Amino acid sequence: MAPVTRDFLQGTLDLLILRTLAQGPLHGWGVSQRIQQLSRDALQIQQGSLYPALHRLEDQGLIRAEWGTSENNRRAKYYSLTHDGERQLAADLSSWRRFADAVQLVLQLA
Amino acid sequence: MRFLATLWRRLRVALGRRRFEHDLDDELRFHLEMQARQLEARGVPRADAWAQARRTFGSTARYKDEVRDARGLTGADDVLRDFRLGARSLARTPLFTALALLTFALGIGANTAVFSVVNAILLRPLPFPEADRLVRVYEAMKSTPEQGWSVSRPNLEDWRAQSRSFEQLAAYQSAGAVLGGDDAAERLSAALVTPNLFATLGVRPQLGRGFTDDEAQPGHGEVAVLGDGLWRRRFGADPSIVGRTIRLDGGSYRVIGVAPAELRFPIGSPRPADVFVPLTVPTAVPPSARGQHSLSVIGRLAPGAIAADANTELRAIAARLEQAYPDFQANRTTFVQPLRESVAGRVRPALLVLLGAVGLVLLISCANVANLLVARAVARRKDVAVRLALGATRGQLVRQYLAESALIALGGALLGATAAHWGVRVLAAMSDRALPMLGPIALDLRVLAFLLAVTVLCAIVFGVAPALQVRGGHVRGAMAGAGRSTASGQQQRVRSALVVGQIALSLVLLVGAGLLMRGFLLLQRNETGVQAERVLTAHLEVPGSLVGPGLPGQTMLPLLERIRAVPGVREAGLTSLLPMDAAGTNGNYWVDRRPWPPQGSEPLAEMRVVTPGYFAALGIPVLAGRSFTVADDSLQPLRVVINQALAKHAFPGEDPVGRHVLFGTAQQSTAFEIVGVVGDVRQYGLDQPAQEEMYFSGADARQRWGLVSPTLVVKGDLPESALIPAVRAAVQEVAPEIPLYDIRSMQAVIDRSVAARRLNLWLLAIFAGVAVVLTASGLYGVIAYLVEQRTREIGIRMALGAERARVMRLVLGRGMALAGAGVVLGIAGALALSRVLASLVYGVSTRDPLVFGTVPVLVAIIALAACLVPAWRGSRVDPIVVLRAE
Repeated sequence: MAPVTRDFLQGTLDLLILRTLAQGPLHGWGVSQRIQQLSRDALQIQQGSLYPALHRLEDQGLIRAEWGTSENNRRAKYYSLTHDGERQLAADLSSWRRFADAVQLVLQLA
Repeated sequence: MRFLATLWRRLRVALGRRRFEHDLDDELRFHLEMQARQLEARGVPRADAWAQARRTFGSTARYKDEVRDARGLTGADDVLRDFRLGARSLARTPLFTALALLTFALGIGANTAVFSVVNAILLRPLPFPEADRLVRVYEAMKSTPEQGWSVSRPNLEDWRAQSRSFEQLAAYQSAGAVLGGDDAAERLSAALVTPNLFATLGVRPQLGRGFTDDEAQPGHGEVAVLGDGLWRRRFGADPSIVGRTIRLDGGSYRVIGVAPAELRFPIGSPRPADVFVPLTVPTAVPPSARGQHSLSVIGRLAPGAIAADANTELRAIAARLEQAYPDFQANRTTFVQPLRESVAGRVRPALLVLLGAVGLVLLISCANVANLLVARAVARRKDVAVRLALGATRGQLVRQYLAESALIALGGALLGATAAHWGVRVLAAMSDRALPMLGPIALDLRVLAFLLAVTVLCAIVFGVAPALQVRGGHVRGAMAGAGRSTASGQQQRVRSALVVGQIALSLVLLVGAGLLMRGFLLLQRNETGVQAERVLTAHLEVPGSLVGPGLPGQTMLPLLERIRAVPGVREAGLTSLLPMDAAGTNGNYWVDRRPWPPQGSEPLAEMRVVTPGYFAALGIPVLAGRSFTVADDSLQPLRVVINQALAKHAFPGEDPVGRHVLFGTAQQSTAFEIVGVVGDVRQYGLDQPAQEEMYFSGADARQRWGLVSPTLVVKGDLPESALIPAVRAAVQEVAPEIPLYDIRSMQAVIDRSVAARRLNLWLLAIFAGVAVVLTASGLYGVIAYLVEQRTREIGIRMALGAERARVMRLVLGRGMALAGAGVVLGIAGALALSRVLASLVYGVSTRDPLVFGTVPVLVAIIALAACLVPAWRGSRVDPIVVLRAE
């Protein structure tokens, strides 16, 4: 499977980030690793698009950031979901599922 | 809400910019580090791991930009850059920037200052609840029903009893009083008031209480309410003052209250009352009391009543009183005037003229700023076209010009606000005594805000216009055209129109200033009737304890003797009232050997009590008979000195000396023997003609009423100020209980009588000057630009053999055509507006040919001067240089 690149729909990247953070606070590197693991390496987030996306979400108030200490004792910026973010995630998840189901349906019938 | 939250987050990021950048670096480095570690863990050598991590990551700079974009920082950066560019571009054209800023400062400053004053005096409600129900009530003569006179007590009582239009009618009398105590005696201004005065005004004492009706009864009136000023000045704002006793005019008064801090009474007075005492109701009222007009009356209209109706009602009552008391009330009626009108009516025309003048200055200022910005816009056409061609968006251009205009506007606003602040102070200081004091004159922030908004808007509109004017399709044309600077005819027309308008408006202002100036010069040539050089004047206040039959002989005449003994003093005298001052006392008189005229139609004369030495001290010539001596005392028959005007009117072709003037009625009169005739003196100021006048002897104890608050007049061999300490010491020595106050030279008294006219003249002259400077700079700008635009044309003409003089004539001709149009418009405007000035101009027609003849010439000369430099520069154009440059 070809790695998904920057052209990946922006909305989808946002959704993935929100979903990843729903399990607890993570730093940017953690987010990218988690997405890669969960997708079994199918989705490799371009680091370059990850950070603008994180900052955009923070700017929108969907996630918040706090400086903490990483597992290797380094200063790292941890992101977590805000209430707005949780609400957004729920809404995005359901619409994504409807979209995926619809696509699935079309593909089956075709 | 969400929008606000986002804004807040962005603001925090933008303000903590340095920290944000640092954190962003840190965040990205952490990511790289983790990636390198991961690679290392997979067996990649350390050095390679870092390089590989960096390669996978890509350009940090680019991602940082994207992050900044996400945070809304890009916009903020652009705005900052626009402002920096704008500031730099303004700094490159210092003349433009300075002119624009100056124009702003003058326009905003002058307007805010004048409007603040107008607002304080004409517009802001008087500081009393329902102030529109407050009126002054006067007695008046039927022949001049709109001129108010003081009221007699019996008339006031009858009005109170019979009228229904008033909720309250209160009366007061101003007086001097001497405050005794531990310190030196101090002269106070006192107000004797009816107990209902505070209720009429609708104010309450800030401490204690006001007067009760009982306290107006004889023998109960030894109580006082302190004015706020006196309470703070002499008693340190001590709240326990209520109940204590103070010494006033030698008597003891119990303090029962302190008047509210904002009460300045009498309203509009430059010297508000320091102390209020009750105006006592007389026990026995002789019939003649109806003829003694000494009270000022303030009324509060009943709810729903209006001044005009109240006046109608009172006039009906006055008609009945005229029937009932023909001896006193013949030809008398009443006059009711809104309180504000009575205070500010006198200065209203002057203030409105100033407001109009300053409004014209504002128009000229705006035209000037517009003119400057349009000029800049024209110069910018090429700049705009190039940028558009290079791919700049219109939005970016607008933003940049907006930033520049905003910088000018903000700078101008700052300067304007500062100018307004100082302008108000200067005006308030200059207008001392020329304007009624209704309260502090303070900077009016709403006006300032409004003017700032107007001018800022003006700057922004004219500033942004160039970016919008060059339309997409016209970019090529503009670029091509700009290279050769073809005039944009439309813009040149706009600028020309602006300049013509400026010239016209300046001319109107100059004509106004010229008329006032000419009137004032005429005024200065008026004979005062006195010789004011080296004459010192000082008011005295005699405490009640000294006012008795012995006042002239035992106190005042010895005091004058002592003062005459001071080295450097040539002569000294006392008068009940100084001439050339606003105040006066007058009465009806008749003369002997003639049948008495109908009641109420006797002639009127000013009256003064003067001591020996007074005429000599003021240099008033004795034209016939003699002046007073110390021998004209109470043992002698009643004597009087009259002035020339009275002599001419009452004794045409006769010798008045030895004849008599009579006071009273045909049946019963008092006769005064005329002992002398003196020269006329203008009693009410330099701009008022001399009235008929008579002087009573101050050495005569029967006339001691005139020496209770007299003014000392001292003629010296030394300058006035050198005499002050010795005169003070002499008074202290002879009569330590008499305070001296309001010490000034006679010249200052004369000047003060025309202070309002001088203030008007100065302000109008300043405004006209500002207008002319702004206009000249506007005209200069237009002509200079014209020359610059036509450099090529001029070069070709000269190459073809045109002479320099001809080129100069061409340029000057253009400038003078504009000036001519402006002058013609201006003369028309000035003629149309001249009527407004009628009440302010002294002694000349408001269409004075001298002013209307010289001012346009002056404007033309200034216009010529403004055009000369650019015209000369045009004539110096070197055709070879110009043609080569093409």
